[in-house]
Amino acid sequence: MLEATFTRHLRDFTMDVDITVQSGETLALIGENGSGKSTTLKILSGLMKPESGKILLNDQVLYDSGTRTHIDPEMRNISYMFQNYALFPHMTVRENIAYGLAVRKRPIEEIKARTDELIGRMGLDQIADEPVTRLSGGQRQRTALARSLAPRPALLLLDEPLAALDVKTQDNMRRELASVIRAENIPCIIVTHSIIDALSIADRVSVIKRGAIVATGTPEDIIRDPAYGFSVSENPNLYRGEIHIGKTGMVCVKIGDIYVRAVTTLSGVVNVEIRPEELILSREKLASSAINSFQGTITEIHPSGLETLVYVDIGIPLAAALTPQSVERLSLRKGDHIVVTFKATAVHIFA
Amino acid sequence: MNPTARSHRLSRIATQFLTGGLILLFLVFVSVPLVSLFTRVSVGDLLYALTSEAAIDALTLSAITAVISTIIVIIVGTPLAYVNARVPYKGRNIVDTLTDLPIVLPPTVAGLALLMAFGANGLLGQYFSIFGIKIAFTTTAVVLAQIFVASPFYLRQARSSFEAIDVEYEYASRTLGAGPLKTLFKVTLPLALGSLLSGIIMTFARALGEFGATMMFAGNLPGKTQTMPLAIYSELQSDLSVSIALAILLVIFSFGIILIVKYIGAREKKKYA
Repeated sequence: MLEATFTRHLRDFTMDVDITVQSGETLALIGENGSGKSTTLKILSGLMKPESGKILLNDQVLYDSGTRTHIDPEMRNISYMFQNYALFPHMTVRENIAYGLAVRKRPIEEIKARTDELIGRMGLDQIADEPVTRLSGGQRQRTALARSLAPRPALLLLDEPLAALDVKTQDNMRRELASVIRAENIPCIIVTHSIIDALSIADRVSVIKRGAIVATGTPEDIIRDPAYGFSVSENPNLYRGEIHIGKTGMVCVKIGDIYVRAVTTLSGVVNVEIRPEELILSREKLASSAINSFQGTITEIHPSGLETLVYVDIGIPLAAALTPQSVERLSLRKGDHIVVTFKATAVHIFA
Repeated sequence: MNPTARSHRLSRIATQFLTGGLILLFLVFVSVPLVSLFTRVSVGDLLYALTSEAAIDALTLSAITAVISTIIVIIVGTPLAYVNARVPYKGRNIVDTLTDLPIVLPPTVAGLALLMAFGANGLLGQYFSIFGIKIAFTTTAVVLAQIFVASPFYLRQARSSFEAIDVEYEYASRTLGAGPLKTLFKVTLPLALGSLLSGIIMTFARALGEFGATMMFAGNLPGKTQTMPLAIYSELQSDLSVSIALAILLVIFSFGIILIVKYIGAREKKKYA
């Protein structure tokens, strides 16, 4: 269990953070660029010193400004996975994974057993003796994760673990990452600016803004909270839903009281994202190939830069991204009745 | 063809000829002196000259002193270069300027300065004299002169090779349980090695070629302070063939050095790309 409170002056603001993470719990630290996410990880891992506060990990004091205690990073047993992974380019996959055990001078048999176990678990057998410079993005991510887990850390810190991957790989790795972390049963903090990552991987979400934790709650609470949810999310249309299989093989997702058609192989309770830029608004019901069509009322029109977000209540709140020209052409007003149309493929389902 | 197009064409050809001519002129200017060194003596004379006492003494002394001064520069210079690359302390620019200075300083000025510091009546030398320690005009002075003049080549290269290494590699190593020293030897130095090697070779070459500061501070005593460049100068008056033989040796060596450094540079670029 991690209990940390600390302050530190940065150039633009003062960090004032209070974090508690239980064993086996994953906390997502979410916030915009420059809000102090990575600094928090650096301070917890000992790479940066706070100015005051106290950091306890499983009742061991790692930092205490009162007693002037500061344990060096190498003595903390906290693994830190960097955004770009920082795999040692002069070593192979195996050497990278074994590094944490080798520098701790563990017996060779133990190093080999643990390294082989992780190589097997992460599916790195084929490339174990390749230099890491030849790996794909997904392979790098797995190697970095294996290297972080090898020394059996007491706390795992992940800085934007999926940001360096392409979108397609992200979807696969997100699920894999969640199950690997869960299996380790250690406290874990994952820094991200993506609400999707937070929803899939975290048990709890803390929103950080200008160096302070401004809200903490379950992922669902945070998305629903208008004060924080949208400000940290790239997409306002995020929901929890339940999969119902239709007769035709096409899937229905029940969100609130409405049913949305989608394409997925998942089942049970899922996360649902409806892409605002793929929604079509019209005055009349459209005859089109798009299968989802709902009547609703415009609750808000919010211009933001090149696009305007039009919020429609169709039983659930839904935001559509339109060009300002389209809004003008349809002369949309708050309170108007409108039809929202979108394809099943505009609905993104993830675990 | 209209007149404008024609004059364009003419001016282009003229530019090409002019550029080509200048390049050729410069290549001739650099290579003719080098080639003329090789044409002055036969291979037999060359080998004979190299076995003369003066040549062997100079060769041995040069090799030993240049190796010693390079090793000292590595030992003292690596931590300095690392700190200057990683730690943003006050006055870092001043330290950098100071360590770069010997590159532009005329070697005779360096020699004079060393003499004023370590000579028998020098700022520090006077205290050494009390204990009967003499530095100026000894082999030690040769080494000091070489360190003074050659160290910037290593310091500059080492600093930029440490700067080129992302600090996150070191952070990762620390959080994985390696202390600062272990991190240095297992991560930082292996990653910087190729680049450091270039700096080491350049430093060794510069130390080997040192003339002015050595002459002023260590003198020109055969077998004691007379290194190859000094022997080349001295033998000019007595035995020209020894002078030329040593000169040829240095030309070949320097040529090899440049080739090796270029090769290492190209390989480093490819390595972690």
